[in-house]
Amino acid sequence: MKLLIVDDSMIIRRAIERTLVPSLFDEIRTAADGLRAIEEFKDFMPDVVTLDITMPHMDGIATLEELLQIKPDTKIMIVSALADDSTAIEALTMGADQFICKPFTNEELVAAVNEMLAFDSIS
Amino acid sequence: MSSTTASTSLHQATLSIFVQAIMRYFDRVACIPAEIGTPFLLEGEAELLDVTSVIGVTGDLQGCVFFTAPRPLLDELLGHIAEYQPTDELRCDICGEVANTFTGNVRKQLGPGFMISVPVVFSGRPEHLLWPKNTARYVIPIVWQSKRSLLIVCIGDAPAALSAN
Repeated sequence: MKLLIVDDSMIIRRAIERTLVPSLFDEIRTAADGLRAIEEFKDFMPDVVTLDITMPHMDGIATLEELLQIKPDTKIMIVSALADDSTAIEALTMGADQFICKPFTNEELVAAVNEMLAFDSIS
Repeated sequence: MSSTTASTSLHQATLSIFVQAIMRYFDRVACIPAEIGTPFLLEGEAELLDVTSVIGVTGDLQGCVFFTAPRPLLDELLGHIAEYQPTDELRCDICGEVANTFTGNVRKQLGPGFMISVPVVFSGRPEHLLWPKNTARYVIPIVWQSKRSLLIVCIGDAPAALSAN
């Protein structure tokens, strides 16, 4: 499976990569903002995307909309510090599959991805 | 700016929401609790430590939030997320991410009308520092692993025009 990690923080991109890649994903790419994410997405066509919301140039909500237009069956997990319920509801209503709030533990991240993928295989 | 002339002040409940976000962050990232000092109203120049990140706040509340920390604290925090070779780039990155997480997390209580910018990060002290006009600045002292950092919260209800400090 292919994973695209989108976050303007390098330490978060690296933390997600260290946690998820060894066991769950074979190929990985990263992007630091929404515009770059769309470029990478078109070229890479990942199965799963982790997507931050507060980013320069194009935020995660606008990016989410663009990505799902390109490939609607992509599994997208929002990884954001924005902890209000309405942000999560907005993202999930728009088509995101999972929402995890920063700061997260490695265990929570893995569990959130597994839950998202398990739900996909059931449905 | 004299604090006594501030036309808007941060409600104590709002300040306490920031304190909760700070404590949650250190608990979750490092499993080592932070000690929070008594918040105080800042008069005169703000103390800035080695690296500082600034988040702009717009919407229902307006202003900015500063997180300022010494390099040793950032280095230790980096170690807790498996970044064992700290560089200035990583220190700036985590300083911005801490500020982003504090301010993003307070939306759980303050709601989506509390809109935040991406962080701007700098080292040292800039020649000119801009603060929202007529808005009180509260300092929340944080001690974690015997290292002191500060969260400076400068937000208010009134439109906040920038003026040189």
